[in-house]
Amino acid sequence: MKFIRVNMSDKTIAVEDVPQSYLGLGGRGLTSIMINTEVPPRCDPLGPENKLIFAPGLLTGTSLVNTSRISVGAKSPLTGTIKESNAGGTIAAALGRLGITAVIVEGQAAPEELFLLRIDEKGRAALLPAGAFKGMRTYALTEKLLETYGDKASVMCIGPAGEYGLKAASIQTSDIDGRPCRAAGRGGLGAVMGSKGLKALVVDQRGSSPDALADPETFKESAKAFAKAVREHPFSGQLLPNLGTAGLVAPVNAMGAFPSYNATKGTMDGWEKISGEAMTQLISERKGNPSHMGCAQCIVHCSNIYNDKDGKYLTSSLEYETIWAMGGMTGIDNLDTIARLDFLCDDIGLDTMSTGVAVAVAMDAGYKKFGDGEAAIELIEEIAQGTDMGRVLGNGPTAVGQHFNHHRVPVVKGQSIAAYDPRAMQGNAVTYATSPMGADHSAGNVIGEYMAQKLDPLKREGQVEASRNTQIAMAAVDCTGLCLLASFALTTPEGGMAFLQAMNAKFGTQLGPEAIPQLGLRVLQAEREFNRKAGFTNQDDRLPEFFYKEPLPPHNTVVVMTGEDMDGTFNF
Amino acid sequence: MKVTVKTYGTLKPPSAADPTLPANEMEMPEGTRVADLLTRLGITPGQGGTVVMNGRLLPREEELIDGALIQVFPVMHGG
Repeated sequence: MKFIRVNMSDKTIAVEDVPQSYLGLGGRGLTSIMINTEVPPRCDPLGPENKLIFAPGLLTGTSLVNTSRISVGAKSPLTGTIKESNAGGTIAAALGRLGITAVIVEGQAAPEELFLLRIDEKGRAALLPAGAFKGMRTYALTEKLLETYGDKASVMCIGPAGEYGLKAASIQTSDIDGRPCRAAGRGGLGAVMGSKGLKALVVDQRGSSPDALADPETFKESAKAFAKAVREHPFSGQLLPNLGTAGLVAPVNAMGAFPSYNATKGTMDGWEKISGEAMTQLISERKGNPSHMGCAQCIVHCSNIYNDKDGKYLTSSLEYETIWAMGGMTGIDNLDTIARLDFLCDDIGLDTMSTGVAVAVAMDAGYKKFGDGEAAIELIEEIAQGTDMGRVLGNGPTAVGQHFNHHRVPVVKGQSIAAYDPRAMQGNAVTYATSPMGADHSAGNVIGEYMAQKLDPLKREGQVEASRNTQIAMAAVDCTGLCLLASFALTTPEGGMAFLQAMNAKFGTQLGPEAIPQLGLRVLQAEREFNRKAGFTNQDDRLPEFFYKEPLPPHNTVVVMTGEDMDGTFNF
Repeated sequence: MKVTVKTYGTLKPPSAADPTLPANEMEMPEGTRVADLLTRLGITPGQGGTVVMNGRLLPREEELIDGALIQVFPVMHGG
């Protein structure tokens, strides 16, 4: 249990034992509580006072399946709020196997300087000059770094967008095959990394000094039981390995909640062409892989490898949110174009969601036509080139809306909504409005409640409670390193008990089931506190006006959740 | 009554339940409820199934309407 603190101003690295006040925290819990404690809330997100924290989860680095998520935290340049953006891949497990609880990047290098941080198999960290990589895109960079440091290295890096300090810049990280196709996409944290002068973090995966388990035998048994629960759950055991998250395209369109043509319709014309079913068939025909293992220790295999018509690698992994942002929102109904846009965003280091929505807002404002795939590709290339329009787009939908003086900008606190229209899923209206992260798809997504028939998506009743409970649960899950997509196994008695037992066996604790929501509450409270100190009030927990005024076909509903509903969500 | 039924994801097509009918078409007695349809499609309560009729999510006790388009999905969660 150690912290590696890297000061980019004076290039010093300090290794310290985790202080008492941070013990028992991991992932989002650690990043958010540390930011709330150590980062001045009103600081410039791209200045030296902000901190960029990389934290594997509490169970990362153990043998428990699907615990390879890394949380990246900072004050966000996109939202101005606290931010945790998490990603899969292999780097979280690599850090966990070295017993590293967090890497904390502080200060700021001089503008012309660029470094990479390397952590070797013994856990020794060094800042190395990276000026030669300036401007490099992530695929070429990662290939070069793996050549230099060996294929047992994990890479987390930024592309040109992060170096430009753009607010939609992502941090990309390498998957099992060494491709930088997993992303901590949301919140513009790539810009924070760029502002520090850090191009890449390279961690050896061969570490063998993880934190000790308090009760290895019990841990082993509970890990086995948890893996069984993940395999037996219909979502993680059957649906995701077959269709991935793209399986959601069909039901969300059928429910009229797929924000299309910049959120002017709830069903996209021709959505069948970009559905998970269509994607899986195409991938199979082209000898790609519809059931790919993208992350360390994953048994779900929701990832895919998407080949072009000649059978050559085009991208990995094509996900629901990307298909929506690059397809539904822009009206592009061609999977090859969407896959190309996904690759470009990964390569340039851009959040596919914010970028797709930025392009959609530009189209809605009349700058390009909806459905024009070539135009979308050109616009995203402009971001890499750093043209004036490229910078507007790379700063996300709000910047585009301001540039064109266009009113329909689907964001909350500056961050774009996800692939569920709040007018057709009222619970997600509550989550978008109240999440400390801004609008978000993984902070409290209520769609599962609708599909399980527990709640009517169009009615006001029950939505606040559903959003609150899901936000609390997700905040807790994000502390553990567990992948959201495997986390639904926690809702079964066997899965929930096995996971809790694994936690207790690792830490030598006697936590009961109530400890999980308590952890989630603690995290949300810290995040809300930071946002208050940064100047946010209840009035910021609202959706843009058009969601209350412009009815969404086919249901022709607007958001019915009131300000009072939003303000009562965090009643703790 | 006749309804058009489309299944998605990992669910079997309606023709698996009655191969004599044209693809996606099902004959059901008047008063058939969502729960009956799921049983007919071989979807167990444990598996769970989400039924959308003419764009609207249907509770299990709701009756199907003659001539409707019915889409059936496995239960999914956000991602």
